Amino acid sequence: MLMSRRKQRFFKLLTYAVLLGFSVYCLLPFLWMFVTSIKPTDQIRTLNPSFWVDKPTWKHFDNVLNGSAFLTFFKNSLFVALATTVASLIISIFAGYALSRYVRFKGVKLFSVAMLLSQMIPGVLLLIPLYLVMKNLSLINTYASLILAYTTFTVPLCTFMMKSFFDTIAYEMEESAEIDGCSRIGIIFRILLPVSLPSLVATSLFAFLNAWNEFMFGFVFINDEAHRTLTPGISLFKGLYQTDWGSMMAASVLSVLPIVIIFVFLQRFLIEGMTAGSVKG
Amino acid sequence: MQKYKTYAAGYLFLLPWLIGLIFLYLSPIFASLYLSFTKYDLLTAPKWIGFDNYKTMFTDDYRLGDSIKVTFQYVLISVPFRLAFALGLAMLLNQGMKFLGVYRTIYYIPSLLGGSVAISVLWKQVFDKDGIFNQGLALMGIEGPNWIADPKYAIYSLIGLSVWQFGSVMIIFLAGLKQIPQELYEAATVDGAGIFRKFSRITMPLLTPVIFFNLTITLIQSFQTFTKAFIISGGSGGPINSTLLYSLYLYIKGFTFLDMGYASAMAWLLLIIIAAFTGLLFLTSRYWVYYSDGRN
Repeated sequence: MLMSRRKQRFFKLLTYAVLLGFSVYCLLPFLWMFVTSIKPTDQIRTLNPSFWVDKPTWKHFDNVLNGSAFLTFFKNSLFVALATTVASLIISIFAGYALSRYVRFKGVKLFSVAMLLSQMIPGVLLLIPLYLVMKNLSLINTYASLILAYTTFTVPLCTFMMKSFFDTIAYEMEESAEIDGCSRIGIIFRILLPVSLPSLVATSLFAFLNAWNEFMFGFVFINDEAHRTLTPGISLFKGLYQTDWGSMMAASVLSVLPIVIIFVFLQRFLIEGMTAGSVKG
Repeated sequence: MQKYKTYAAGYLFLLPWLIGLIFLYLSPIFASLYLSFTKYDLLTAPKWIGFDNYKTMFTDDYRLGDSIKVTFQYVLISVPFRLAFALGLAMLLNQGMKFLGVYRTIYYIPSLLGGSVAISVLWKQVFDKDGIFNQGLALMGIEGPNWIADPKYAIYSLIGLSVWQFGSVMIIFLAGLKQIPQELYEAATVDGAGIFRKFSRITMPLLTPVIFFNLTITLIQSFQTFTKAFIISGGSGGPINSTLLYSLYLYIKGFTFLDMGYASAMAWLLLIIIAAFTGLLFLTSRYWVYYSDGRN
């Protein structure tokens, strides 16, 4: 028995060691990103790069914030991502509600299947026709082009997340509200949404992150500095400062930081929302 | 009348979604199919050329051959590794470890940001000739190659980046593991089953639906990878086509050579490849996926 307990302790320690090792594996690149961004330029490309920084500097950050269009890109990304989030949320609340409450009706099951199938269509397949649509509507180089495209891509999964949540809410609550003369829309806003806060947060986060991280459509739809979003912005930085790793890493830190902060605070919601749709399905 | 009204409400709620679906999803899909049979350079009107694009793809485009080879290499190596990492760590975490939330957050961060350009830029720096990865190898006395610039190794830096983002898959595995009733393990322990027996007889079978879900989604996503290859190779797919993932080549054809018809045909080939793999998974699923609610 003693032996076995000792063995158990050993395995427990080993497990913690492995978990710790993988934490380092996941975080080390980010640490490197940060370290590079505060290194003086002459320490960045040396034969012996190290995590130790002699005389750290904010020069690269200053460079990015004051000497480039970074802030414009950041504002553009923020606007596009927020607009996408609001649009996706509104559409998916109603669609999710319909799918959850009217599943018995003919045709609605078909929508469910279509939504799942939509995940299989490659983004690049839609890239060319959507580019032509935006071009014909003169939407190239506008925020609207990206908001429309991103909303189209996030809505299927957002709807799925909202639907799975609405499924867990008892129908009785709505019935009594209906008897009291509450309209359908009133029911959604007064009864369902207040109790759906966790999944609303999860769904919004999902939409926001997708829009914030998307690159291909942002790169193709936007060709002018004034409307460019952050992801293509950083990639074009690369062209400008071919060897200026310091500024590139500073820009990367600044683009990644808001997401990490949001995530650390709201991760519980996102993880619950993500797993709800998948494990049951 | 009452019934008619509720019907109407149901469809009314779906209306915005339906409009988006028709105008921004279905019509573009059909437009793309039409374009795939044309020659179209954006400047002049599309010209119908029948199956010529498809013929060229199969007979006269060696770069496409390279691209498909690289894409398969990328998908077939990165997907199993990503799933294995994810499952392994989910199982370690599921043993009632302390600080579960902290580990979960840390592991998830790479997938949270994985698709973003910043990470690909960072990756280029990490896997550079003098990057920290090679520095780490140097500590162990190994001289690392130039991962990004050597056509032999370039794809592995992409695979490495993909495997690094195992977190989102892991979280779904973790949720799946939590649903396995603890009594099963207790009963097995009483019957004298060891760790490996419990794993192969309880964990694996009950987890197959989740494995199936993760495998399908990861596979579909991996076939569509674009950003990593674009950023790490500087938009070229080089050196010598070694990182020319399918979507990247399609982009180059469509937006660099302005051969929109050909690029559309390529998009349809990609859809067919993805559909074939997904279909294959679904077909084989009844032999290895076990639904405890008796669905099969």
